[in-house]
Amino acid sequence: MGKMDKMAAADLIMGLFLIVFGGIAIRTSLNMKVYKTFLDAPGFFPFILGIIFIFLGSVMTFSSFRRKGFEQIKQSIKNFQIIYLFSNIKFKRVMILIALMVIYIFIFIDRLNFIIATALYLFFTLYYLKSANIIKIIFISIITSYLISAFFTSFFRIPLP
Amino acid sequence: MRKLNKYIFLLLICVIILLVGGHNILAQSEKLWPKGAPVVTVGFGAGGGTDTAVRPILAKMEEYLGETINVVNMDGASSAVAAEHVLSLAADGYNMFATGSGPLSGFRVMGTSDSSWRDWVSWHPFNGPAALLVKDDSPIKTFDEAMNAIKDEDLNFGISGFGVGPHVLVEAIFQIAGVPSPNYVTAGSCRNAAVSLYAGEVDIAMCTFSSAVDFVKAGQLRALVVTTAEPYPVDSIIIPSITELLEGSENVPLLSETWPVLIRREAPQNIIDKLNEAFIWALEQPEIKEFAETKALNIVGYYGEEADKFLSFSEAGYSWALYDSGLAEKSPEGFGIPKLADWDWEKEKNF
Amino acid sequence: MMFDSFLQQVNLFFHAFTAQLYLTNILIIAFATLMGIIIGAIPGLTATMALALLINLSYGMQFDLAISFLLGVYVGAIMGGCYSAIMINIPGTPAAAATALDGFPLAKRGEGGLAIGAGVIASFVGMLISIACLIFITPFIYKIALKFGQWEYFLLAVFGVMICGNLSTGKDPVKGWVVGFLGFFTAMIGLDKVYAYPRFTLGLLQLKGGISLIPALIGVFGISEILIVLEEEIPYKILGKITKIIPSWKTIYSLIPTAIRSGIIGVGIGAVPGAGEDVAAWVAYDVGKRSSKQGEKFGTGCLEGVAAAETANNACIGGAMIPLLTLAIPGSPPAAMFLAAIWLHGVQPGPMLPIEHPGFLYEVAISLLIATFFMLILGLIIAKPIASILKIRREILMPIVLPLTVIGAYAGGVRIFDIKVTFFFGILGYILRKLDYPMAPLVLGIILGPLADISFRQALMQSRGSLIPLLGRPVGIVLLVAIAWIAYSGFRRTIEYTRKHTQKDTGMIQEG
Repeated sequence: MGKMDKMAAADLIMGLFLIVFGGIAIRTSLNMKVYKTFLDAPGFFPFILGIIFIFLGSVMTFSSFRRKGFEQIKQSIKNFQIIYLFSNIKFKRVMILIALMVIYIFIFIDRLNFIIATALYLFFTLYYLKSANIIKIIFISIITSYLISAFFTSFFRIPLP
Repeated sequence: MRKLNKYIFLLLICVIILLVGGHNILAQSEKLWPKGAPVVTVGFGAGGGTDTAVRPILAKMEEYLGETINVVNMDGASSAVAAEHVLSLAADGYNMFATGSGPLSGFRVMGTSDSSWRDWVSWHPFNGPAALLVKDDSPIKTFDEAMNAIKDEDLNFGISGFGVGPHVLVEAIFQIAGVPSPNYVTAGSCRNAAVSLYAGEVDIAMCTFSSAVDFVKAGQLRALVVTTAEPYPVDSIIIPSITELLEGSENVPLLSETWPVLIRREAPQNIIDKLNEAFIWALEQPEIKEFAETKALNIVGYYGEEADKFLSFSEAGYSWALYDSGLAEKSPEGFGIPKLADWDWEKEKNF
Repeated sequence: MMFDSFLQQVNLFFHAFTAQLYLTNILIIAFATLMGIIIGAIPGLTATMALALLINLSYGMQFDLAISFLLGVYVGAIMGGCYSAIMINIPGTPAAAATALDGFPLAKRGEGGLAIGAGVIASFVGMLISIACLIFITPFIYKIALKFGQWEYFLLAVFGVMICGNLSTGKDPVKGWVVGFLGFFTAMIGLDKVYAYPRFTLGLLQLKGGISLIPALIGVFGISEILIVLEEEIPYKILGKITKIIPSWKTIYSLIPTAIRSGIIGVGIGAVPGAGEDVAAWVAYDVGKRSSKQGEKFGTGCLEGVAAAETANNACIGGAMIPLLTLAIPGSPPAAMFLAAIWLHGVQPGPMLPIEHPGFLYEVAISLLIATFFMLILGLIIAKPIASILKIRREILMPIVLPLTVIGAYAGGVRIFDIKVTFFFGILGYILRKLDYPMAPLVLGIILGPLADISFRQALMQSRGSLIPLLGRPVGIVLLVAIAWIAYSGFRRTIEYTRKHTQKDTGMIQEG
C-alpha cells in the first residue's frame, strides 16, 4: 500500500463530503431572510460558496476516481485496515495527547487557577512523553506556568482564564 | 560556554518578568476595588468607534480614582455577547460593560440578548451627531435639494450599516419629510462611507459627523445638515441644524448615538456613587474637551436618571426604526416599547 | 512655487528628524522593538493582538513616545514572526506563514541560523523600501488606493486566497483552494455584517459572535503542529549548532533583486486597504518563485523564498501607513490598532493632517526608521539565543507551546469559548494536514472572508445587481484576469497530477 493510494481514498471521501456540504450550504443560504433582493441578502455569499464547494468537490471526486480511490476504499474495508488504525502506535499517542489537552482545556481551566491548571497539564504531558527525569519535569512545569502567567497579567494587564 | 550563554539569557528573561510582575502584587491598600482591578468589557473590537470613545473617559476616571481600570474588548453580535458575559458575572461592581446606545436599544428586538437599559446604570460622556454629506462638486447644494433628489432620482445612498445611528436618524428624517427610502449602500463603517463618497462610489451619505469632519474642514465634502439641536460651526462654516430645516424634527437630535459605560443596577451603591463623582470630574478635564472637539463629538454627560431617560427614549426610537425597516426579529410591541410619538418618561420610569 | 513647497517639506523632515532623536525616544523605540520581536516570536501572540493589548499602556504615555512605542512593537512583531516560523514551523504571526515554507526545511537541515539572518536582513531591506515610499510617494499612491472600490476589494480577497492555495500545496492546488474557501465559509459564521442576520450559528449565542481569527489561527498552526510533531515517538531534532547567522556577502548580494521586488509588492499591497502583511507575503513569494532562476527550489528550503516573504511582510508596514495617514483607513489589521491609538491621542489622520499636524508623516517615518535599525541590530543579536532556545528538544518545547496558545486565544476576546475554538481548529487542522491539506489558505480565507462577502454584496447593491460596471474598472479587470489565470494554471496542474498517478497506479496494480 503506497502512500499515494491512501490519499486517493481520502480525496474521494473529501470530494463527496464537499458536494454534500455545498448542497447543505446552498439550502441553508436559500432559507436565509431576504431583505431587499437576494443579491445583498445574508445568504448570497454562502450560496456562491456552496456552488464553489460542489464544483471543487466534483473535481476532487473525479480526480480520485481516476486514481483508483474507490477501489482503495473497497480494499481497505475488505482488509480491515480500520482496525489497524486503532492499534497503530502513532494513533494511540495522538489520542492520549488530545485527551490530555481536553482535560486541560475543558476541565482544568474552568475549575482551577490558571497556574495550577497549566502546571498540572505540563507535568502529565511531559511525564507521558518521558521528556526528562521527574525532578526536572516538576521544576519545568512549575516555573514555566508561573512565568507565563506573570508575564501576561503584569505586562499586558489581561485577566487569565 | 555556549550552553552557559543560553542559560544566562533564560535567567535574564526570568528576572525581568519577575521584576515587572512583582510590583503589582505588592501594591494593596485602601481601595474602591480591594480585590483587584475592575474590568470594563467593551462590546466591540479594539480600535473601533465605541472603543475609542470609551477609553479616554475611563483613563480620566482612573486618574481621579487613583486606581487601574482594565479595558478588554469582546467583539460579537453587536456587543450582545459582551453584555451577556457581564450579566453572567457577579454584580459586585467589578465588572462593567461599554457599548453604543443604538446597539443596546436594539438587543431585544434583534433577539440577540434579553438585556435592556433597565438592567444597567450608565454614564454617557459624548454623543455623536450625524451629518448628511455630499461631495464638494455635487449638484446638490442644500438639504431640500437633497430630499428632492432622493425622491426623484435613483441615488446611491451611503451608510455604515443598517440599524445603527446614522441609518436610524436618516430614516427618522425621511419619515418626517415624507421621502421614501433610497437605495442604501453599506460601507461597514462611517469612515468608509465618507471615503466612498469622496471617491465617487456613492452620491450622498449619512455618517456620524466625527468620522467625516476633516473632509468637511478640507472642503472635500459638504455637510448639508447635522442632527444637533443647534447649528454646528466648523471653522468658518456653519452647518444648519435639522430642527431649523425640517418641521416636526425636534426629537431627532435625541436619537444621536452615545457610547456609555455601564454597570449592573445591583452593583454596590458606594461604587456607583464614586463612579458618578469620577465621571463628573473627568468631563471637566481639558483633555476630554479637546478630544471631543477634534472628534466633533458633543459632551452630553448623561448619568443617573437623565441617562435612563435618554436610553428609554433611544430604545423607543431604535427598536421601532429597526422593526419598520424589516430588520428586527421581534416586534417592540411585545416588549411594551412605545412608539416615539407615545413615549412618556413618567410612564416609562416605573419599570 | 513648487520649489518653495519642496523646501518646506525638507524643512519639516529635518525638524521631525531632530525632534525624534532624543534619548528617551530612542530607548523607548529600542525597548518596543525588542518587545515586538519577542511577542512575534512567541507562537500564539500576533502583532495585531500585541498592539490591541498595548493600546491601554500607550494611552498613558506622552503622544510622541506612544507613537514610537507602538510603531516599534509593530515593526518588531512582524519581523519576529519569522523566528518561530523557521525554528518550529509555527508562524508567530499569519504574516510569517509563507516564511515557514522555506524557513523550516532550512532549520531542519541545521541552517536555521542562516535562515533567520536572511529573514532579519530581508525585513530590514523591506522596511527601508517602504519608508522611502512613505516619504516620497505618499501623495501619488493614495490616489491609487481611492481607485479601489468594492469590486476591487472583492476580487483582491479572492485573488489572495487563490494564490495562497496555489502556492502552499505541492501537487494539487485544488486542495489549497478547498481549504481557502472553507476559510471563507468559516468567516460567514455569526451575525452578518450588513443586516445582523445570524448565519450558520446553530442557535448558539457564542457562535453569533462569529469565529474570531486569532483562535482559529492559533489552533490550525499551533495545536496541529504540536500533535504532528509529538505523534512521532522520536520527534525530529534540529541538527547541528546554530553558528552562522549573517549570510555571506555573496549570498546577500544575490538576494537583493528578490528583496527589492518583494519590497515594492509589499508596499503596494500594504497601501490597499483591507489586504495586509499576509497577502503581501504570499504574493511576493509567488512572484519570487516565478521570476527566480531557481524557482523550482522554492519550498524545499531556499534562502530566496525566506527573503521574498520576509521583505514583503515588513515592507507592508510602510505601505499600510499611506492610506492610514491620508484617508484614515488602515491598510492592515495591526495598522487599524495603530490608528485607534493615534485617535485616542486626539490626532485625526486624513486630508486635514498636513494642515493640522504638518510634520506627522515624517515623525512616523523617522520613528519607523529608528525602529528598523534596532530591528536589524537586536534581531541579529538575539537570533542566536532565541534560535538555541527554540532548538531544545521538541518533547519539552511543544507541550509548553499549548498554554501559550491558550492565553493567546483568550487574550483577544477574554472568552473561554475562544479557547475551545482553538482546540477545535487544532484537531481539524491536524486531520487536514495529515491528508495533505495546507493550513495557510484556511487562515487567509478567514481573514479575507468578511471583506469578500461584504464588498461583493455592496458592489452589487451599488450597481443594482449588474455586473456591467465591473467592465469600466481597469484595476478590477486586471485582478479578474489574474484570478482566471491562476485558476487555469492550477487546474492544469491538477489534471497533470491526476494523469500521472493514474498511470502509476495502473502500473502498480498490474505488477501486483
